[in-house]
Amino acid sequence: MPDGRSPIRRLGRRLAMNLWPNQRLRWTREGLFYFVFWLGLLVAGLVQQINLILLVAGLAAGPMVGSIFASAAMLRKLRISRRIPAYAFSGDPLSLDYAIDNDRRWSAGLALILDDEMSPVDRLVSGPSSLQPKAFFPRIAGQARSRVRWTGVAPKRGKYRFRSIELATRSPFGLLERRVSIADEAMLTIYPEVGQLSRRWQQIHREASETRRGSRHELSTQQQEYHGLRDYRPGDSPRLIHWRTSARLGQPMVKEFEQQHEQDLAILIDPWLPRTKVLPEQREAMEQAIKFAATVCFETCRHPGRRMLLGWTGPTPGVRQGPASVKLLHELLEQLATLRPSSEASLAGLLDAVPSPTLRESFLIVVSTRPINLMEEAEKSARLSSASLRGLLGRVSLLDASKGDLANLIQFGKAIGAGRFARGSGPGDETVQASASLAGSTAPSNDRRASL
Amino acid sequence: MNFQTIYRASFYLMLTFATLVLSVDASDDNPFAMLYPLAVALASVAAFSTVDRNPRLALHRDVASWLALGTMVPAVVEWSYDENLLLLSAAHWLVYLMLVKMFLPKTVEDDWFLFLLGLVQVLVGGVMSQSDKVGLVLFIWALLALWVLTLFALHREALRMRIAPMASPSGMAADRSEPYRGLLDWPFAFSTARVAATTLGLGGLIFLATPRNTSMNSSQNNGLTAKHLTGFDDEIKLGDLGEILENDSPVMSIELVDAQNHKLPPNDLVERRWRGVTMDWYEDGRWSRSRSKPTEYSFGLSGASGKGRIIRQLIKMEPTTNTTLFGLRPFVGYDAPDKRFAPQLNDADGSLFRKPSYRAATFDYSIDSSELPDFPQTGEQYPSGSYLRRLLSLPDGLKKKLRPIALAQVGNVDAGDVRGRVAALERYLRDSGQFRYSLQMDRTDPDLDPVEDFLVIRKAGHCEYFASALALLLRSIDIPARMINGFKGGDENAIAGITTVRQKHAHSWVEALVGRTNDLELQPLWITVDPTPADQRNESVARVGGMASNFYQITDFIRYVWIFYVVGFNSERQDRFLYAPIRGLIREAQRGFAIMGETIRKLLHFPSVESFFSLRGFLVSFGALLLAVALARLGTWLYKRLVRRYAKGRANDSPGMAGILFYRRLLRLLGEYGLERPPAETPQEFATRAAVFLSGHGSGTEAVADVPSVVVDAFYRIRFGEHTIREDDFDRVTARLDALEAHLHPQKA
Repeated sequence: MPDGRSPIRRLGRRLAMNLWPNQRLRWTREGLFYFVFWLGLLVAGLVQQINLILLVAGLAAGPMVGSIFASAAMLRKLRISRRIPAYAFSGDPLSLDYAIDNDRRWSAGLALILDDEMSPVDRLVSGPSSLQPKAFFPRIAGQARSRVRWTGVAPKRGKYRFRSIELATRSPFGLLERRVSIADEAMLTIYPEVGQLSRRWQQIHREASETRRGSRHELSTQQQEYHGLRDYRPGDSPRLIHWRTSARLGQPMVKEFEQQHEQDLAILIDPWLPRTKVLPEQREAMEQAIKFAATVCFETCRHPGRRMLLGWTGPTPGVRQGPASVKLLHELLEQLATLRPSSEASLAGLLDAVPSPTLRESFLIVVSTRPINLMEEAEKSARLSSASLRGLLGRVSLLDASKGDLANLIQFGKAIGAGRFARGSGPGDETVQASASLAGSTAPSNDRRASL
Repeated sequence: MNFQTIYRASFYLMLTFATLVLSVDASDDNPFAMLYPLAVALASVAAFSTVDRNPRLALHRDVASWLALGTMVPAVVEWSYDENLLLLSAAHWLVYLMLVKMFLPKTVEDDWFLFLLGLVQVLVGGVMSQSDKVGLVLFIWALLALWVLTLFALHREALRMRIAPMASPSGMAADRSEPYRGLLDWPFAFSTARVAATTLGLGGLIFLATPRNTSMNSSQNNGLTAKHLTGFDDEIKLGDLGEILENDSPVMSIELVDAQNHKLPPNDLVERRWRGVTMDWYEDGRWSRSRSKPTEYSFGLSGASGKGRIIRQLIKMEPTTNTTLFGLRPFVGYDAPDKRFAPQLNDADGSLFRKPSYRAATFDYSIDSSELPDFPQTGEQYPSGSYLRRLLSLPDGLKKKLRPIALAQVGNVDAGDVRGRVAALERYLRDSGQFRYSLQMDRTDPDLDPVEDFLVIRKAGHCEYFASALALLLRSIDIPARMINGFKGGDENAIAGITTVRQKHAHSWVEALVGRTNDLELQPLWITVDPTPADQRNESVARVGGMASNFYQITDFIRYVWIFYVVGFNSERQDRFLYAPIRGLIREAQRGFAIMGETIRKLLHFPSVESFFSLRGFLVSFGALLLAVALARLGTWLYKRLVRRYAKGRANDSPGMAGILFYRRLLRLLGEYGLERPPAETPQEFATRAAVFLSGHGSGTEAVADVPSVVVDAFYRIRFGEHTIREDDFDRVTARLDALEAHLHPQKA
């Protein structure tokens, strides 16, 4: 913090600091015992009027009074910086980097404890989800920097806010603890936990694709993207043979297209919960639905070429869509991270919000936390005609999380979590890893600094 | 060096010094007392080499418990040996407990326990004795304790760090036994020294400011052992003074100032004689003073003129059992902080004394003396007939032997010239070369009177012999004389600005009555004569003390502070050195403010309106305006600072949107409605999406479906087009937003 130039400004700053102090001083447990003992010593000295006891009492008071000033000196000229990842997956290892710069010329900072708090912006998920990262800096030499990495497990999904960092010292005698609070706000989004889709899911997906082929046949080559030439393999369509090249090379060559074998995917999530008396199982089912949606989004967006849509019910149904990409993935995961349960959710409203091409062509997965009658919902919808509903029914997969429909579609495990970490939720190097694996991610990691 | 090694070694050293505080003074009476700190030191080394390195080598808990119980046996035995030693026995029991505890694995609580055991030993040691030796060891212990507390705090924090699920810097986990790598460097040493100095300074201030009980001033012994000064009793044996002439202990500290309390340089210190006890009766080698109770005479400090230059002596007596007080004769005034115990003058023999009821450790008093050599002693009476006979008394046999010797020396001096005769005899003893100064006091012939032996046979002795010989020689020729025991000279201490008088400075000289004053008071005129060869005596004094005398400047200063400002610090000294200066300062400040107030009042006083229109009026009004402006600016600045500080936490730090309140209002309204703009969505896209929802929701929001687009368009024009919104546009947008709010929140609207 730069000093004011004029003495009046400095005086004013001091006044303001005194009016709104950001420092707190409190007794430690040992300090309280020490104080009580000292009080006894003082009383004995005063009653007996023995100067040597009074001298010892006076000297014993020195550490208590001296701690007030020495602890303030210990916290002077220190700069704190916190480096957090842009995002993390719930349940994955979460690393936060803290650094303290000691701007003092000579004296080292000793036994400094840094307390941070990461609290949810909106309590979406039941249960304790605040984190209190703590870091210990044994010694920071003068004009030096010390870094500490806190590693824990990322809490439940949601947006988390870092408000201020507290730096505490018990220096020099451990009798008093001085804490200084430095405002350093930052946000961190914890994405829902992502698991691994099971074979059962692959089977459902394949069946849906086959149904689609059966109805629409293959896409024309105009709908496909030319990729290059390759050797002819038995079974290749003769229509794909590039005759001119085959003649030139003397062997059959076929044109290769990056064919969109997989259909566009729309996942519609219905995070319904009753207004009152929500059972833990219902809440767990909703979380399971969100995790499933996140996993599907994750798996889909890893392979470019498809379009992906995420829709959610609620007071205001919402839709996110776009070509599968890392950018879209972040948007979808962020949306899922902050998705709130709703008691007024209506699938019909959501179907109205979904673009028509999606309704016509995409494979729809509806994940709900309650039994849904698609026919009824379609009737309520203003957009769906009976004809389009018939076409839609063949491409919809209805999953009810409350009935355990998702249990055999997704798996969670340590190995999966470790793999996900590699996809990136750490500050610093982890962020680099994340950028490498989720190509196109532009979310930067937060690096904030604060001075004492 | 490893942190744990330093910490543990420092801890044990501190414990050893704690036991040393307990034992250092007891070693004078009990040679085995020093075994306790020695045992602690040896046990420290053993524990450090065994249990602290390998906890498996620790004593078994059960064995330790039994040993702890067993330690009561030697303590009880010690107590039963001498029931007066209850406190010491209890303290020794603490030492035994400490020894057992040392050989157990140590947690933080154990370390606190050991620290406490050491502290209690220090307290017991302090209660039992408050000598300067104890003070020195206690000071070292205090320094060590601060150092250990610092390391202990670091040790605890390191342990907490291991227990708590915290992050630790990379590399630390690999060597957890060394949490503070590179701790011991010069900056750490300097900062620790600074903290120690601050802490001790603050501790010292607290000690000085702690209230003292006034009733304790004169009765509290404070644990200091009062010494007896041989040679200053009512009766002394000739030669007794020799005992203390070889003793180096301080007797008193003297500060010399003038009547206005300005410090005086200790010039001619060697020649100054601090008069003490008066010996007026000699018989069989013994001197005694008159036992008849004389009239006591008291008066305050001088200040009257006509007494020549005044030398004020601020004297602090070390603890002593003697009631004799010392000062430069002639005394013209004397006082003490505690008026109940002010010095008193024996008006018959001219000696000063204090009341025997005074039992405090030290005694402070002030003496005013005149530098006029012939100035009569104020308050002293001319000797009555019986007392005059006493001053002339001499054993018959001795008189016969001494008178010829005396007459031989004063033969050529007129009988009426008393001063001349006195001076002749003084010269005989001092300057004739026949007598030499010696501390050897062997009598060559036990049948002879010691004085006769000195004058006739041995011709060597210390000041007491010289003074006795002169006093008796004077009496033999009918000149009233008395022997005075006191001190001559002293060691100047430039650091403390005091003169330390030691026992080795003890001296005897003679006062001879040479007449009476011619004024109405008819006071006796006593002259001081010193027959001891000064050079020889000074050489002898200088030899006493040996090597230690080279450090007197420092040791005397420390001792002075310890005796008078630590151990002997009472309410009177506290008031004199702490509260009186503070009161004086406050008075001065009040006076200063009063003068300032008076000046301002005069400055602002305008007897008439016309007088205001003057140069003074201009200056006053100009100054007042400047002050008002400065105050207003200060107030504004403070207000802004505080408002900014208060609002800081709530302000949106998105600079691009800060001014576009209506756009933010739209976001807020739609956000409350559950429609939020994700970061990847542009405001325009968001507006389109919001419009779709508002129009498709079917709940009467169709009418306001265009509001997001209207607001976002306006926002785009301002934010990116850098246009200024017109007033009617602004009103239109605001009206549409009001309509949106009314539709979304009908109740609120």
